[in-house]
Amino acid sequence: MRYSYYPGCSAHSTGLEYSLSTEATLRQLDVELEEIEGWNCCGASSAHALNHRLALTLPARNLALAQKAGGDLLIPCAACYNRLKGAELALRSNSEARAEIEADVGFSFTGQVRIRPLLAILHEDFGPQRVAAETRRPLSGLKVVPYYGCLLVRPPRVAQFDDPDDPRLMASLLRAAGAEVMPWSHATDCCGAGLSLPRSDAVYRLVGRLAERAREAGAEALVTACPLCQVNLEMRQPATPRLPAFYFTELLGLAFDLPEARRWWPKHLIDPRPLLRSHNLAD
Amino acid sequence: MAAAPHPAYDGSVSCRPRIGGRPGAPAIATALGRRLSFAKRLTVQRLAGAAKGKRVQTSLITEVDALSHQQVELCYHCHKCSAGCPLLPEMTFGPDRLLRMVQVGDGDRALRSRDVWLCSGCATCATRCPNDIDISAVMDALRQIAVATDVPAGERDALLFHRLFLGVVRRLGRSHEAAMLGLFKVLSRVPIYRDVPAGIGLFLRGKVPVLPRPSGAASEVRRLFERSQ
Repeated sequence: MRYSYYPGCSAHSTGLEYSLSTEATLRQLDVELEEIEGWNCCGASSAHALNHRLALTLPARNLALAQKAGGDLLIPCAACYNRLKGAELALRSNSEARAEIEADVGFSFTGQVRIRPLLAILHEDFGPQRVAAETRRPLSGLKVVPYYGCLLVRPPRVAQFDDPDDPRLMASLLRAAGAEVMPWSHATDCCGAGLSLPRSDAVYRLVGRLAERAREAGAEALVTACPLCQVNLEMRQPATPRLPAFYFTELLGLAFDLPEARRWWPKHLIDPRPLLRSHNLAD
Repeated sequence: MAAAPHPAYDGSVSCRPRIGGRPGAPAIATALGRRLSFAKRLTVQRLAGAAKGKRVQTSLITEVDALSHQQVELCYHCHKCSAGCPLLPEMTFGPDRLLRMVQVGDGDRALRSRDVWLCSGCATCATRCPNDIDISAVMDALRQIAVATDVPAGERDALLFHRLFLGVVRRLGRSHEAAMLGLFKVLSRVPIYRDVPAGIGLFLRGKVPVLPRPSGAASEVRRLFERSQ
């Protein structure tokens, strides 16, 4: 299997363990990732706040590169996924916007690239059965809640992924890896996103509530698919005992018993090793 | 970006004729200023109106609708947006009252409010709106209008964050946390000592590389920025 790969800026910074675990886990599934050459920032949460046109042309340039590379475009980051899907929607549905975007970026949109979040690719192209088959070290007894955040599922008109109120794909993959997935109602509540720097107090409140609800659900950790959610969950979580926030790829890699996994844990702001040791999942 | 053409009134309840605004003004602005920023377009509109000796009535709702590609007039104030807004406790008005202000043309209060800068763009409101108004897009439009018309931001540091983020992307083609965090520390009103332990924690874990990786995209991204002005 081969996919075009858009890592996004956080892959080399705050979301380091996401990209490391993504690449390692996919290698185990015989996936060939072809990073699109010369990709740029998607504009994240800032372009659309200040400049409507940039909010479309920045992601569209990446779409143009992916179109040249061919094949499905795999995106691990929820925000990047949302921005690229937003640009695609404008290109598909608004001919005036399309003409402007195409002129700015200098390409002709064919609409043939499928933009897909990593979670969708793992679920649709491999599925829980394959995950179960690859699992050598089941995550038995590890109680987790899946946390999607906003941008993978909302707004549904743009994201077109899973259920915006009750998403289920991540849970089925985690269960296949042997984890115990606790039911809870806050999988798509906002973590505060980019307000983390200017208004950390608000983000502490939102993340604190998420952690409290996760604990009430009986979870020992949260599992995310978004680098901004993950850093907020670990950096803005008040009080103890604090729950670590894993990327779902880290837990899949751990279940696959990948030797690289031990290099991901020290990257966390909340050390997950005590929890993993208590379940005999780390040395 | 220019306004999407609004459908003519077809008698159904979901499609109402636009309220407020002189139809001529946006059309003139579109013709003259398709490539201009909002502030420049607004000036063009005002000049066009003044030349004809008429009072220019570019109502807020017309501009918001055009920028966001939404129809704010469809809102009947069910309050679902405010009920579900995760940032409501920090806001002064909340999304529902902001939509009302846009409808009645109370631009002053809406644009000056901290609320437009506190919106995290989570799109919970857009997902739940029974009239399919993408309220996050409306919030984006309000922010863009506030900046273009030099209304002081109700949350100064939130605007600073966006400006620094885009400033770094403009120069490097990609974001670069070390540069952005450093500038934010110096320029924001957030106390300089806050977040220092977390920042050191990220640095020690190799998560804020000091030097940016070359992206190979910088010059093309700069051109996109220039074209968007």
